[in-house]
Amino acid sequence: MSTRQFKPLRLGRLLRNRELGLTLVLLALIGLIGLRNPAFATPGNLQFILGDTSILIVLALGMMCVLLVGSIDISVPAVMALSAMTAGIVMKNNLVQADTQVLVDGALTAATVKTSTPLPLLLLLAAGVGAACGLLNGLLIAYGRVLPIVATLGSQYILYGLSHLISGGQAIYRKDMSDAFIQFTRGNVLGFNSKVLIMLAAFLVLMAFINYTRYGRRLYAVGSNAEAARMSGINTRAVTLSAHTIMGLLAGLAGMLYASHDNKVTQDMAMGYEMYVIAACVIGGVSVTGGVGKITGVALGALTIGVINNGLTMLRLTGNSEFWKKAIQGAVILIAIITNVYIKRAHERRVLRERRL
Amino acid sequence: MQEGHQTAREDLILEISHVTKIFPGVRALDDVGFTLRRGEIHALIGENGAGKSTFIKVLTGVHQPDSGTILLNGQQVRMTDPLVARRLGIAAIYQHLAAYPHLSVAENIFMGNEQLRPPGFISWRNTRRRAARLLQSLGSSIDPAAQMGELSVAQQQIVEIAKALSQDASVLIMDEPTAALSLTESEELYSIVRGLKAKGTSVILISHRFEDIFSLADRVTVLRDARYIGTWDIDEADSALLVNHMVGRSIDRFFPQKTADIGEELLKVSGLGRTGFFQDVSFSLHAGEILGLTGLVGAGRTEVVEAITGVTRPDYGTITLMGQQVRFTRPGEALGRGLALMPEDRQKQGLLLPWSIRDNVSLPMLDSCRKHRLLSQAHINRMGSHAIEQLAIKARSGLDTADSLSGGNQQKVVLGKLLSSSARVMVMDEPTKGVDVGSKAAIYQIMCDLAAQGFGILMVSSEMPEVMAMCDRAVIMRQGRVSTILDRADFTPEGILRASMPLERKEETPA
Repeated sequence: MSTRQFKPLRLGRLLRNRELGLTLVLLALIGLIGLRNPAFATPGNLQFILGDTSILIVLALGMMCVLLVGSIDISVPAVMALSAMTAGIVMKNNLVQADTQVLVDGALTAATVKTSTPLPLLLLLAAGVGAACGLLNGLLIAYGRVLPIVATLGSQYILYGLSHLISGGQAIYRKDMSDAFIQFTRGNVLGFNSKVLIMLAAFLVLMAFINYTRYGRRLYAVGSNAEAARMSGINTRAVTLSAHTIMGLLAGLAGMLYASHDNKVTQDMAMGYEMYVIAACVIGGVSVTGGVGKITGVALGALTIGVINNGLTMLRLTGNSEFWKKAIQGAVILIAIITNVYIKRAHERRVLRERRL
Repeated sequence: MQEGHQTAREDLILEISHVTKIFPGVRALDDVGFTLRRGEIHALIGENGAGKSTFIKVLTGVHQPDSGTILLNGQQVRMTDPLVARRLGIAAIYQHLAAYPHLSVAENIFMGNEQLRPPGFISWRNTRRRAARLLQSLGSSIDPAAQMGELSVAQQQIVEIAKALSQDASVLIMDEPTAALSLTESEELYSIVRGLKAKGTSVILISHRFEDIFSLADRVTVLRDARYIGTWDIDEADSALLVNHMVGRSIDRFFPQKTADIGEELLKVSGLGRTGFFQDVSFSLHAGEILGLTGLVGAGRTEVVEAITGVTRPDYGTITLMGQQVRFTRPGEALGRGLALMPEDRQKQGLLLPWSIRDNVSLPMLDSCRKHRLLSQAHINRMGSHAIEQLAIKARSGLDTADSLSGGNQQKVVLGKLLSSSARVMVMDEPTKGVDVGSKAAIYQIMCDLAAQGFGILMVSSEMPEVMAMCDRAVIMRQGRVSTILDRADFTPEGILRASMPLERKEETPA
């Protein structure tokens, strides 16, 4: 078309491409931290960060679905705990220990082998429990018309309580776990940690769902204009329900990754983790009022948080003080979000100024 | 008069008879009939609250009628949800609520009707390509990848039409399509609609603008107070006849005679501006005067009164209230100085719906209800009863909650709330919007009484008859500026509309 098509402020348009902006921020962070501590920006450490952040990404993908429809879920850690606890109890009850001999350095050595319910079944169980929790949240919100934050605050307590109830207050420890489960998040396939592989699988499935299926696009439609969606025959309640169910399913899966990573399942597992998940989405450009957000942005947002967390440890700025680490994390998240808001406002102001009167 | 000429049954694409829809407490449609011929443009008019929107929603399956029949091509249909209506070829373009502002134009067109490729994934290439083709067939060059929310209203209308076309609609319902369009944009729209008609699409056109009706429609149907009033061939109708049927009585008996004398200047606004919304707005308001502030939707009227009363802050200009220069940061401050705002959305901005009448009325004046530092319930009760009496609010007592009242009576409560203060300038934003005809007349009477008591009233209004009958002068805005200020003697419908229509945007010449 004609030259008129070009907008005068190209930089502004670039800044609006949040994925690009986030990638730059991420690279800058890695570069800066790497300058202070060369051990940070090594392929090994970056891969470690990717593995460490995988759980956060999996959860953020689910949270994105929920935020897209204009809802929110703060019961995520409780769903993780209940799912992992259910699977953990099944694993503990079916645990079989056998003494055997294994070949170490060419010599036979005595060892104990622990087996239990097959790992895929356990994962399926946890995902199922998680999905059921998400469904419950969705029913409360979509059909019970309870405010999302209130509904999931309530279900958070119920689900934590259920974890206590079914476990009788007993945590699941390494001794209760099968070898397969302990090794689950330590194994490498094709040079990648299995957490990374599961995260990648979840990412690809969700990307196909959100970007290339009719149902996935309805998440956006409902969040962008629920009234219009209803008018055009979209069952907005069912869409909200599905979003919460997806969140629950991913939380169940993430709970297993978390449990295997920690070698422990406690009743209050991952408490407070929901804030990182929501922060990852917001940094990634998902609007908490619904309708806006890209899946690549969410992954980048989660990675940003992962890099900051790891970087703070590597820089040893804060010594061993948990307080300072948390405070700096919080400050960085706030700065990222305020920057986003500022960029958005600057854009809106520009649009207002350009509007002809 | 009914059914201008007898029409053979097979010429009718749509035949609606005895449709009634009841919402809790309201008859939204009462025994309404309507026929639509094949390839016809049929205008549907009526005042706000006459039942037009409910009628559309019944036709598109959003609401189910409580009784009555709908025949489509001679066959009875039951639109149980919007999808059914869409499959039957009935598409509606709503005034505000149809678009997904965050999504692309192409996606807006095909939402719910996605372009798939095996094994069932969305093909974005086809989506964009087909969207571009559809838009081109309408003679438009809108980029299918553009974000819907960043288009102008006129462009969004065209996208909505493309959406209806993509669904092969045989009946197209358009709800006030030209409400925010300039003259040229309206004419472009007219030619698109005429093109649709030539291809055999039947159109139901809802509009307040007589221009639209007289230049497009073949027939016109009037609804009033949820009832069917009549249908006329367009050449048998003129605007006076239509207005009389819409209002239900002749205009001069509907509006009270205003007798107030114009006194000293109360409010003066000069050079007021707010970046992106309005600029260079100047006018003055006198005691005993009703000053109209009119123009099309989006011309900046509400923004101007919000800036004057402290809801938002102006970027330039001065406001002088009773001789003193003022700049308010909140509406409460303005009220304390004698400037009251009756906001446009009474349910959200004007009232606390679950609260009682007396609590609503006394809210801005709670300071004066104190006795020994504590609130005096007796005083609050008195204020409630006083408002009910003074404004003839239909309620059992001051303890009735605001949400139990009809729209007109709710509006009176908002007025009562403002009158309990010591305001002398009353800013009323669309005071009769969504109010039944009886309450309208009552509100007009109250406005005249207030003017006679020496109030200055600034009334924002989109309703031409209201502005012409009630105002001493009218400030007419277009595109964020004052286009002209007319004296009552110079009021003509054409003059006011001409001054409201946006100027054509000058295309920038490429460098």
